[in-house]
Amino acid sequence: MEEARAELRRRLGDEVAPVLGALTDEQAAELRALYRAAVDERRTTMADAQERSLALVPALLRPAVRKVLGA
Amino acid sequence: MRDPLLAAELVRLGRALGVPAPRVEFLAHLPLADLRLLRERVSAALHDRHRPALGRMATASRLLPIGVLATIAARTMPPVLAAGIAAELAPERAAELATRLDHGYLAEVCVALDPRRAAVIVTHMPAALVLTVAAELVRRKDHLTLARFVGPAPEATVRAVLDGLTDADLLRTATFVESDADLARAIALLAPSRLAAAVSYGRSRGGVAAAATETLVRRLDLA
Repeated sequence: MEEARAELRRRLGDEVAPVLGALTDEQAAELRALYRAAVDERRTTMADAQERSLALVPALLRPAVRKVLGA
Repeated sequence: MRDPLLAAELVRLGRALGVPAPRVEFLAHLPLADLRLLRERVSAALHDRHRPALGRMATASRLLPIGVLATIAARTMPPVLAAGIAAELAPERAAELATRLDHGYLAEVCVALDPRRAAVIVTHMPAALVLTVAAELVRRKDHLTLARFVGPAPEATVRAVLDGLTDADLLRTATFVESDADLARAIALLAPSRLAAAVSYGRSRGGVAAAATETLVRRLDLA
């Protein structure tokens, strides 16, 4: 399960390499799964909320806000 | 008995990952310093991942009057998103936004704030608002978030927050203060009799409270 360690090292930075080296394969895989789930959760939350927020922006300002957001 | 600082670090890591502490129990064998480094990097990576998008939202929010922004936040934004945008705002505007939000919602935003940005925002919040949020965090038993107020807030605010805590809440909050120096500074604001009472309470309770007490005493000696 070197790929779990490699992915976590890529995402968290080289400084955690010694810490990741102290984990078993199963522990590294579990940590990667938790991290991926947290990333997915945040991504979904952000996207949903952005759409709902735009609906409440006063109509006059909406084009300018959309332009800044790139939405 | 587990080191209270290690237990606190597991709670922090679980919080960063959005799971209860028992889900990260498999990492409890790591030394405290390693666990802290891992948690800091996980938290930073998760917060930094969306910074470009959050920065655009913060820029767009400057087009809106603060009242409209507060309404939109309260009606549509989960606290994690409002916290992300607040972290990208100038601290003065983030603090002004905070004054317009419902206290319960604001407490949840504080929970979700990037710890690296929480300090500067807290220093710009009115003392009365910090006290209100602190009371809400105590009610929720969220000593982790409450501890983030102890380092950066002005001394008078810190003293008022600590004075409002029971001995049990004071010991739990102290365990979650990361920096020994911040902890020493905060405890120095208490009357000596108050600290003595809290230590006496903790030792009399035994178990986790006693362990937290001995950890507090040790850290104050070291600081």
